[in-house]
Amino acid sequence: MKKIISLILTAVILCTLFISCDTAKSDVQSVKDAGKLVVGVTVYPPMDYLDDNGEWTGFDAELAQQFAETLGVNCQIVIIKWDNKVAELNSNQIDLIWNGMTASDELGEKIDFSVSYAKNAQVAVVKKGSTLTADGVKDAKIAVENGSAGATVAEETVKGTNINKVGAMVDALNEVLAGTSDVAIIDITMAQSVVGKGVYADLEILDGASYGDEIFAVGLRKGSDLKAELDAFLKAKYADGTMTALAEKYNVGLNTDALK
Amino acid sequence: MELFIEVFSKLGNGFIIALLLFALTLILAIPLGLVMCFCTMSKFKPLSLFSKLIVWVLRGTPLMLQVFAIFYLPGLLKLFVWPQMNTGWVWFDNTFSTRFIAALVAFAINYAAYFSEIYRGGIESIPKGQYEAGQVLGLTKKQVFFKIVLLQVIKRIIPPMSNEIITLIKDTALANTIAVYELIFEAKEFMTVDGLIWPLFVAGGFYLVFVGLLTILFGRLEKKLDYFKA
Amino acid sequence: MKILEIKNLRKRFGDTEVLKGVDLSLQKGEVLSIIGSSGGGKTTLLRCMNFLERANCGEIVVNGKTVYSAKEGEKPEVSPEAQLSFGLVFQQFNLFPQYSVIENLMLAPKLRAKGKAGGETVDEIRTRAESLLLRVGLEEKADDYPCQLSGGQQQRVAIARALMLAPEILCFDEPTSSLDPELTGEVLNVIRSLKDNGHTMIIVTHEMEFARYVSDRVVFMADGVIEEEGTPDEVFGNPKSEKTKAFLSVGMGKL
Repeated sequence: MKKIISLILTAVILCTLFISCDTAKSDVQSVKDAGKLVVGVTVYPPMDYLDDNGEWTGFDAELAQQFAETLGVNCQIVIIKWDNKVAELNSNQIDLIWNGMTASDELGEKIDFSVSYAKNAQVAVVKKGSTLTADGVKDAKIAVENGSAGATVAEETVKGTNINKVGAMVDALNEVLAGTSDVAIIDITMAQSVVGKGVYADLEILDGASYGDEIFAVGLRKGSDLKAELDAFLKAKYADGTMTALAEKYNVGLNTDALK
Repeated sequence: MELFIEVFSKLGNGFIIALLLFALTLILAIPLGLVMCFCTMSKFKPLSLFSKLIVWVLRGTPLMLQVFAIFYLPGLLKLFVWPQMNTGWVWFDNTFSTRFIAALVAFAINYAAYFSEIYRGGIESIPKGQYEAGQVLGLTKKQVFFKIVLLQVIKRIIPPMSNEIITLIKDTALANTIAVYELIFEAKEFMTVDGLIWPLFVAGGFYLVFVGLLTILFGRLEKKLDYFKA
Repeated sequence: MKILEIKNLRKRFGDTEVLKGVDLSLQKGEVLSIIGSSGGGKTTLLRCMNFLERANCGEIVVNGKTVYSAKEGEKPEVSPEAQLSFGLVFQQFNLFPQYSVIENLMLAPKLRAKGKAGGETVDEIRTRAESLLLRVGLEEKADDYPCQLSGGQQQRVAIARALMLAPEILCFDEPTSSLDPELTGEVLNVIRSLKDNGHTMIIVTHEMEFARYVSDRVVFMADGVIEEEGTPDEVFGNPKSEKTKAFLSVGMGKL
C-alpha cells in the first residue's frame, strides 16, 4: 500500500514537471481573447508615470491607452524590472514594452520594434561646479543604468575605463549626488525632466557631452502580428495631429521622418 | 508632511504585500516541508532519491534565481502563463497578481525544502526508545508520531525554525526581482522617481519592528515548552 | 497451564546469527529470569517477544494461540492483540517527556478506548492509573513531569504504565542497569510485589542476587542458545554446564 502511494506521488511530481498547454496563438487574437493589452513600463517621466491620483499618465502611457482602445480592449500598465524586459515579453507576461525605449541594434536581435516615434540622445550629468569636461568623461567614474542605451554609449562611444552599472537611471544620478561617481550618462528626455530640480537641484547637464542620436520605439515579441496594427496606429495618430499635441504637452521630440 | 504621509502609505501598502507573501509562504511551506521530509525519509528508494535531488537543487541555488525561473520559464518554454486573478474585486486581483502568485510558489517550495531538512533533523534526533515505548503500548505508527514524537520534534525545531522564519520576512524583498510591489520595491520607487533615499531606511525599520515582534513570539513559544526536557 | 510457548526462535542481524533456535515455555504466574553475558542474545530474545524485532523464523504461542509464526524469508504482521499480550519495561525507562506521570499512564488506554462503544471512560482510566501509582508508591507524583523524577521513580512509573494495559506477560529489559545502586532497591521491591500479586514476568537482569531471590526459574543464555535452565537453586547452586559455571564464578567473584 505504502509503495503504491509512493509510486503515485513520484509519478505526479514527474508529470507536473512536463505539463504543457498550447500558447502558440496570434498575439492580436490572444490580446482580444484576454480583453486586455498588457504594457510593461518603468516609472520614467515624462513617458510613463503616475499622476497625483495614482493613475498612469505620460506620453507613452496616453498613447498605449489609446492603442488599447482601438483594439477594443482594456489597457493594463504594469511596472517591470527593466533588466528583465526581454524575458517579460518572451514569457508572455506582457504584450508590449512602451517606455521611451531606445531601439538599439543589440536589442533588435531579441525583440521586434514598432516604427520609431520619438528621438533621444544620451547626455552626461555632473555636479554643479564640476571641473569635468566632455573630453574628461572617458577617464571619470561613470554611472549608468545597467542594460540601458547610456550603458552602451559609455562602453562603446565614450570607451569609459571605470563604468559603474546600477539598477536605474535615477540610481546613476544618486551616484553622482553621493559623489561615488563623477558623471552619469542617461537619456536626455529623463535628464531634462529631472536634473536641476528638487533633489537633483545640484546637478547639471555637461556641455558638449551629448552622444548618439537614438530613436524610441515600442518593443514587441519577435514576429508578433501586433506590429502591423501598432505601426498603422502610430502613423494615424501622427497624421491626425494627436501625437504632435502630446509631444508638446510632454516635451518629447518626435521622429517625424519615420512617422510620415 | 504630505510627502511623509505619501511615503508611509505607500510603504504600508508594500509592507502588507510583504506580510501576505510571508504569511502565505508559511501556510504553504510548513505542511509542504513535512511532505518533502517524509519523501526524503521514505524507504522507497526512487522517491527518496528524487526528493533529495529536489531539496538539493532548491537549497543549492539562489532563491532569486528560483523566483525568476518560476515566473518567466513557463512562458519562455511555451508551457503556460501564470493565471491572472479575475474576481472583479480590484484590490484582490491587483494584490494576487501573476507576479505575486509566482513569487509565492517559488518561496513556498524553497522554504519547504529548508523546513524539510529541519524537520528531518528534529525527527531523527528523537530517541528510538520513544517509538519502541509507543509500539509496546499498542499505539499505531500514526499515533506514535502525532501523540508522542511530534511535540518533542516541535520543541527541538523551534530555534532553527524561528531563524528561517526571520530570514523569510527579509527574503520577501527578493520578490521585487519580478516586480512584485512589496516593501523594498515601493521604497526603491521613491528613489527612482523622487530621488529619495530615506524611504529605504524607513522600510528597514518596518522589517526591524516585525522581526522584533517575531523574536518575542518565538521566545514565548520556547518558554511555553520549557516545562519538559526532550 | 502454559501461558507462553516459544518454539525454535531464530534471529539474524545481517550475517550474525544472534538467536540460534530458542525454545522456552512459561507457566501462568511464573517468574523467569534470563541471565548471561552481554551478546548472549537475551535482550534480543526479549525484543523478539515484544515484536520490536521480527524473528526470522519460529513461533510464539500465547495461551495456546499462535500469535507469531514465521518461516525463513517471511515477515508476518503482528496483530494489536498479540502486541498487547506482552508488556515491556525498558532499561532507559522511555517515559514520554511531554506528559505528566498520570498522562503517561493514561495515554495508551485512552487512545485504545477512543471511538469504541462501551470502552473504558476517561474517569475509569484515571481511577485505574491512580491505583497503580499507589501500588508503585508514587501517588503524590501524579502531576509531575518525568524530568522532575529520579531514575528509580521514572522506572516505577514505567512499570505502572506497562501494567495499565494488563499484559499477560510483563517483560523487563535490565530494569536496574541504568540506575544508581542506591535506587535499584525501590524498583526491585516493586517487581517483588508484582510477583506476590501473581503477575507472570520475564526479567533479563544482571542482578544475580535478585534473580535468585525473586525467580521461580532461571535461564542461562550463551551464544544465542539456552545453555542451562532450572530452579534458582539448581542453576546458581549446582550449575551443570561449563559455560554457566564460568559465567557465575566471574559474576559471583565481582559480588
